[in-house]
Amino acid sequence: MTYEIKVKEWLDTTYASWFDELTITHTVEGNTQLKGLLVDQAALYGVLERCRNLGLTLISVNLV
Amino acid sequence: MSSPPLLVTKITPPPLRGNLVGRPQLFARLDEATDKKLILVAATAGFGKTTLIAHWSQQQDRPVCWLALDASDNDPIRFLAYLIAAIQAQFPDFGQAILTTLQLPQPPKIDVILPSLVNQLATLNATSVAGQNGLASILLILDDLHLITNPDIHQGLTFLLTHLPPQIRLVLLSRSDPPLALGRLRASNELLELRTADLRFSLAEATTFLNNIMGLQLTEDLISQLETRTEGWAAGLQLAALALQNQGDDAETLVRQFSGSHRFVLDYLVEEVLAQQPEDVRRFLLQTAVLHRLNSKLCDAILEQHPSTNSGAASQQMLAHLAQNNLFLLPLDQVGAWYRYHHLFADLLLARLAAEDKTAVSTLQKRAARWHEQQGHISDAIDYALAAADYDHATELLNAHMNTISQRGETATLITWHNRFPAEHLATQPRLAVQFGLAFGTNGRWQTAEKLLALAKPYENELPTSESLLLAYLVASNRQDMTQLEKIATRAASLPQQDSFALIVLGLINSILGNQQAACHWATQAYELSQREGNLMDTATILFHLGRLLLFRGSLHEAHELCQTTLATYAQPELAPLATVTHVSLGRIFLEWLDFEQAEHHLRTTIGLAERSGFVTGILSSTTMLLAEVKQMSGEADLAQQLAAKAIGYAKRFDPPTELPWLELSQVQLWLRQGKVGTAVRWQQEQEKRPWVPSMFYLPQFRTLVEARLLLAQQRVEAAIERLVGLTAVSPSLYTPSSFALLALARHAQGNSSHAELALTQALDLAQAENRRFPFLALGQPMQTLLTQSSHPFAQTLLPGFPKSKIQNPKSEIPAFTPREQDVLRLIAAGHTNKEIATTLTLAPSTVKWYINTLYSKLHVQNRRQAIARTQQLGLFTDH
Repeated sequence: MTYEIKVKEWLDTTYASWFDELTITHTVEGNTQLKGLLVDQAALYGVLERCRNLGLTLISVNLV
Repeated sequence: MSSPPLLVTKITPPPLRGNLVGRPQLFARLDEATDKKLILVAATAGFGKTTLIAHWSQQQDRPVCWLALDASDNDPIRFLAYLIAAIQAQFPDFGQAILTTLQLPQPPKIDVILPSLVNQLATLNATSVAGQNGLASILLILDDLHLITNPDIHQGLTFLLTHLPPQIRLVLLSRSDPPLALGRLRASNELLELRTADLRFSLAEATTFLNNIMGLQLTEDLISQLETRTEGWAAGLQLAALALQNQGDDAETLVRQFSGSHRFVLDYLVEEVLAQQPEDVRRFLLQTAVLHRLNSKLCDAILEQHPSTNSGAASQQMLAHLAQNNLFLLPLDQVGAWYRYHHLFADLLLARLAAEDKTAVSTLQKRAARWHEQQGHISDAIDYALAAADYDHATELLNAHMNTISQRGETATLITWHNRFPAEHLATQPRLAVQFGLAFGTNGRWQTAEKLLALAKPYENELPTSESLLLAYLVASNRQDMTQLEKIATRAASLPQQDSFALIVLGLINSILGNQQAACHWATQAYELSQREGNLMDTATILFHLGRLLLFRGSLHEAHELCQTTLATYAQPELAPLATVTHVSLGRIFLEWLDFEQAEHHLRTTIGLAERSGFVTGILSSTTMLLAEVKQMSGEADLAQQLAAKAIGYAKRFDPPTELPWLELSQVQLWLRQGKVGTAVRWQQEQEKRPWVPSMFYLPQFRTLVEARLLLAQQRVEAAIERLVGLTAVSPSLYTPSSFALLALARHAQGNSSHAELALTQALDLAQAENRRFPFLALGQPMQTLLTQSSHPFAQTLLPGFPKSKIQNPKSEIPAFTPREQDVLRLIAAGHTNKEIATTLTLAPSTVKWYINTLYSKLHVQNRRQAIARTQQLGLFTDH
């Protein structure tokens, strides 16, 4: 399942190691989009928890 | 020394029910994973992760170390203590020394301990337990890893995984993927993953479970419907089985309703299951759901029933009944004393209880807090009191047991507790605020620490001595006033001293206040008292500080001896982090003795220890700067610059960067040695606007000394002398010989040779007693010249230490000007013409011209424009 997670903060590519399987892109509004294949809910929650531990503001989580 | 009470139930593999669905395919995959470092079982709640691994590991002919984590293990110290306890359950001799370290008043960071943990893991021998199979590996199983959210622990686990000895197999059970660089392990084929899709019950497994184990006799069609609706979810199937148990022919109706419903599977099933229980069982389930771990006594206590007089089933029988009937009650030990509910089930029960009776939850939690308090389980009592929002009780518990709690060094736990208190409550609890402030400070979070300390400030006089001292000390090192600090130190010094910790704090306060004699006096008293008390850990902490305080006083030989003894006494590698302070002191001592090799050795040891702790402390920045000074002295100027820049980089990472101005003082000295006076002056002008915060690592005298050097470099001799005379008048410190030596140079520049000689003799006398050479060598060629003229015996031994042929860049030297030359230069710099200068100074224009030519030559310039630029570059007259 491919997920698209949008967070408010601008994350540069140094965070790539935090989000192993995801690609990091930026939107015109300055948000960050994490996109990639997450095999199941445990993998998704793992990513969401990392967002929480980094203190990021979640805007949306979409299954694409 | 206090050890945290460890719950044996957390390190016991969970006992299993006799009848389980066999899962041979999964077992086979686990068995075959011999070449994998990590086995990760990741799936959301209720998929049978724990059961699978407990079942599989029970059949293994190899040592199994089990640790069931919970939210309170987010403290790295507690986490490590349990990890070691889990391993000790199989290898009783394992990690005893590390456990001792964890019980230090301020235990080292997890990253410091892990390498030594890994080394000890590498020595474990699986065969010593397993017997025959030489290839057997040890299983280290961590259950409920998703409850760990502390990034320090995640980093620690990543380190452990990277350095995992080959005979250890790590098994992690989690509801979500832990942040452990799984991608890399997948790529290198070192990871076996069992995920939701793997754990789902197949139709065959569901049939075995429902019909054979639960004895339901359902048709294939009904089972298939159940399996589809629950998506092979173990908890769902188990709840369905419970709901169906007494339905007889109605089973089919229930399954159809269930399959047709759009409600959340779990809600639906829990409701069904609860509805089928007798009222006393239902009440018991709902009310005891507030407990994280339960035994019959605790249940009796919170239900306020007495086991002997109770007419209904006593808690003991009730628990046995629930466990037998698969009501999601899991035994935690083999003797049936402690149980817990399946997390998922407990959450649902709790939600239901809250919906029925809002106040019931907190009433039950308050009773649980009281019961745990009576049993001496203080952490549990505090957790329940906080859960019940019973802040008064939580405060009472924390205040009564603060010594024990803070000695355990579980600052992360304290921070978690702090976060659960409302701010209004903390504002009325100064003792609590100080302790929480200290915990945040220890973790480098000074902004929060300062806020908490401010809360306690109005109550300062009501606090016990050691706490008000601590508060004063912390407040002072965070930009508050020294007058207040002095007042408190005076008051405390007059009180009867029974607390070695209060005494060492008093020593540190005096050191910050610049009174090194008093600092050593109190630290020595602290040392003697702690020895009488036989408190080894306090003694260690005090010794590490005492060495530094002796050094600050300038008693180098005494400090050296104490530091060597300290290192020999506390030589265990686990204590190495505490000895960091001792290595810094030794580095400084050897620099003073010009033994660059020894100095570098000790400073590098310190840097290694501080860097490994992954924690930017004042120690790391000040030590790196000290190493820069060593390199400058041993002639490696470029390396010195690099190190200085690195040290300043560390200091900038402070929040707020309170150490920065102190480090930059050393940088200023390096600039002055390279003739960059202008840069140094500009720095100083910036500094005057910044607040100066007292530092643990620098004495206030250091700042005055550097300022005097800067003034002298700018030819402002009188101002420099004024400061240096002040410095040499106060109680002796590490900087007294340097102050006298610089005073000698200043007097010489003033043209007062008899005073210069007097100051030099005093500097030499003081330095000779402790064999201190650095203060003279650091002042370079002008000092060398002065020493050649001295008849003092120590002066002669110093001279060979100066560089033989000093290649000076003439452009970087500030020339010596006569007072009249200075007047002329000042006016040139201000942009005046020759004629104006002649008028102002009442000189003949030809004389002015003559002065100007002399100035051009001294400044190595050709014309007026260059002279002005050079004056600015050298930082002359910037104060006008």
